[in-house]
Amino acid sequence: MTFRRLGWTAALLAALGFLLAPPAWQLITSLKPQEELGSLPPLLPEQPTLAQYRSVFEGRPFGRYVVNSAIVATLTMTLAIAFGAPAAYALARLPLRGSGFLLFGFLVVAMFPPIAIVSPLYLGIRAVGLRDTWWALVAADTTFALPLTIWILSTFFREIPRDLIRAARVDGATVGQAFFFVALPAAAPGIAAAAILAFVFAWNEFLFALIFTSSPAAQTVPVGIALFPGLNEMPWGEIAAASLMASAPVLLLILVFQRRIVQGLTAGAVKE
Amino acid sequence: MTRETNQAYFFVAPAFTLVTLLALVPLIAVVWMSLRRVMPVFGIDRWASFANFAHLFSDSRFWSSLETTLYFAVVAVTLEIALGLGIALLLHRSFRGRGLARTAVLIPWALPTVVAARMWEWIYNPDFGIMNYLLQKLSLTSGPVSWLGDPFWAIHAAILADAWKTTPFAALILLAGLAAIPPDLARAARVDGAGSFRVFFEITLPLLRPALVVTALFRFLDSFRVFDAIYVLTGGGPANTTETLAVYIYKVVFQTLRFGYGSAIAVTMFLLAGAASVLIVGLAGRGAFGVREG
Amino acid sequence: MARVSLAGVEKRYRKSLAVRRLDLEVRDREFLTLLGPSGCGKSTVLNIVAGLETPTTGRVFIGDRDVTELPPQDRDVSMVFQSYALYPHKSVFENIAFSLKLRRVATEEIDRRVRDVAARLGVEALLARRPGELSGGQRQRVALGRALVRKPTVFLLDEPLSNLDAQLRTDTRAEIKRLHAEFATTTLYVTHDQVEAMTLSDRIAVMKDGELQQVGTPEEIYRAPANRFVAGFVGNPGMNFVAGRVEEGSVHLPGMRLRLPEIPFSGDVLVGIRPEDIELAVDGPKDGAFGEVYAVELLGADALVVLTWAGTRVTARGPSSFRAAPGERIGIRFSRERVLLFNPTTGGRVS
Repeated sequence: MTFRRLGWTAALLAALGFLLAPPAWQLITSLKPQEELGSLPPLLPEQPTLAQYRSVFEGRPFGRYVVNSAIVATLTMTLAIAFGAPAAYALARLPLRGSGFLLFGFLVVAMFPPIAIVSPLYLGIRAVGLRDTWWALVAADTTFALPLTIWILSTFFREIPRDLIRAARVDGATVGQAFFFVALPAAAPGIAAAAILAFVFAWNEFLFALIFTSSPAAQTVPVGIALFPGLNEMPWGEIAAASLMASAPVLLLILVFQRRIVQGLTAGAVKE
Repeated sequence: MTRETNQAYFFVAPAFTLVTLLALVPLIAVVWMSLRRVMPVFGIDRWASFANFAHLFSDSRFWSSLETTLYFAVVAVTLEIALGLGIALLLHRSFRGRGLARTAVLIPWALPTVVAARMWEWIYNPDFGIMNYLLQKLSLTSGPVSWLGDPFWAIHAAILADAWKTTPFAALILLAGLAAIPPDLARAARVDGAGSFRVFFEITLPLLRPALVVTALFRFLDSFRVFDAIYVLTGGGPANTTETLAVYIYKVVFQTLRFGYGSAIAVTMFLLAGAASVLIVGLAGRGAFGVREG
Repeated sequence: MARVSLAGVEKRYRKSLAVRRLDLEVRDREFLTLLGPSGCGKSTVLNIVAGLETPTTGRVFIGDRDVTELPPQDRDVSMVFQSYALYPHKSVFENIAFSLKLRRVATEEIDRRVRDVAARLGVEALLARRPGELSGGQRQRVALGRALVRKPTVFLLDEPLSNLDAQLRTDTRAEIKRLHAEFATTTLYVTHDQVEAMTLSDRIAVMKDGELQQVGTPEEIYRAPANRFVAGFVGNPGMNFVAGRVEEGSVHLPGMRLRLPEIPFSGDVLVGIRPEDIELAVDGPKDGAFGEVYAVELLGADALVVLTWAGTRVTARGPSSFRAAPGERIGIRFSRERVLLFNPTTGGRVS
């Protein structure tokens, strides 16, 4: 019996190693002073320093990028829930004609290559004068976060016992009140999960940020990282440091909300 | 009842409007543009009927990017499902620190694609990258390999980087599928006399079919449309060996500014993706969605 | 010899003790039921015998073999699960045949044996169907068939009837009894339903909170329960318990005094008397014990009379013609041979 246990543990460690080694290496890299970057063997920094982190901010508005990302991600998260929750509820629990059609429509949207519709979107955003603003990104990100958000939320809404809603209606609540005061609280875990996923999506989003923005006024962190190459060679240490700072909020989120995220992505199928 | 139906429309209205405006309309615009010759910079915008699509057929760069894309998608998805299944099986058992393990598994998924791409770029660096260092240390290679600069290796390096990032997602979907299998079935099989291998191949795998199909489908669609990782890692090079359809479209639209032709490629891409989905579901999906508990 | 022995078996989980030190023997060809409320550990014991769980301490023997370390596939036991656990993607035929296929039995022989068992259980018409297309009762019989086709050394059943409706339950119960008579395999049966236990078993082992309370024939369990729990658990409606006192060789209860021989005890006791052993006297001696009618439930064949007496509610069985209004006073009498005395603090039976 114990041989098998060892085998499983070894496999688990191998898998975790494969998944964690690259970011771990990035962390190590970010702590190396400039001189040590160009040489291996010494794998670990002999003189670990935070200099790389500091120089990330030199000569580039990295702080501004972070602020932009935070604003865009938060707004996207809010809007995705604000628009997605009622829609999901309607799809799950209300008599809606053409709901299959709507779902199919959402699926089609999810299947279309974003790169393709970027061009008309870009033209449209430029025409409305929203180029290089947060709102352009928020609108686009929310739109593409909605299919997943609605899918997750409708599964959670479907789990709510019909009798709960009926009791509220009999007690005198309107459809809207039943939704807001009974269904929403009951689906709270699903909402948390969907919100987190929307935030992660918006924070990590690259394509729209790249194309719709042109200045630090609205550029987000992923764009900032992509723009790193200076005139000469790549500042790998700075890139590593910037990468970790860029990922920190999201990593923090998954550390705290791991259970919620797993619940959301698997529509509640995986228990603790 | 109809009043409730009308109210329901209010619920869906905001989401529906937003998606229509920012997704459906552009989608129609793309189809529209694919039938025209559009180059806003020069102020050109006129009807071209199917000229763009005709050009597509003779465009060798289109065909090679399609080939690259298909190769990328098939290899990447196979890798992700294999790794994802392995990880799902590992996470399915209960052990101390499982929550921590799950958090660790989520990390690749949580990183921004750009961050992950740069990370791998550093690992693949021919002079200072740790990949070459380790391989030479283990005597598996004789000299530094330019992973991203070699026409043969580049696409595979990109596949590894992308698979690394997306395996967690596959693992989670498959984990959900595993969790849905009633544990009594495995027990009954063991009492019937099946060892672990038999249980896996005769019970677990067949019942996992729906989840596997869903995973394959979603991952294929995503891989087919891949852009971020390739753009940052290789920009489509070297010598266009990693140029996928999405990257090609980007270049056509934003570098040569041919919006019309780019849209035509996009429409073709969409149709191809749709056809592939039908194929995947049809091939493997028969019976995968109709299995109920006994 | 196909007897099952559990010696000093204990099962501990991280936070709790599921099964306390258990010594139990199921005799060859015996039908023994593990009876107890949910969570008493009976299913855990069954899983240990099957090899699906290993005991923290203790040994398990099947026949003369120590099987404690053996996995389920090497123990030659078969099991019927509460959820039936039929393979949804295989046909009924394949479900039943699975274990034979694993043992490399010849195809013609598999075919013969599966059809044979299917005919015995009346499901031969369903062999090509999938479990999802069958009704609950049919699935149950397929599960039985899967377990029987192997002719195992030990037959394990985990609450197989609890998912069936009442009528089906009675029919299937009779069928299980018939099957046991026909196949004569050593059987270990787990249930919380005391009717099943009483009707099917050669012996019953009552469990509570992981601990074995008593092992005996249905008769023994019924008439000579080891403690208050066993006494109250078996029998429907349950035994009545009334507080009384033992003084000078007699039991004192409100309104009556019972002289009982050899009571090595004095002080407070809990007096147990079954509903069917209480005699009701509508008009009888006006002295003695009286209860006030609380409710009368007519069952058709007889009546259940609930009375308030001695500070508690007491149920008695009366004739189907019994009529009385709430509040009426009825005389209570019972024979002292039927009375059981229990220690009020430990619950153990005193006499």
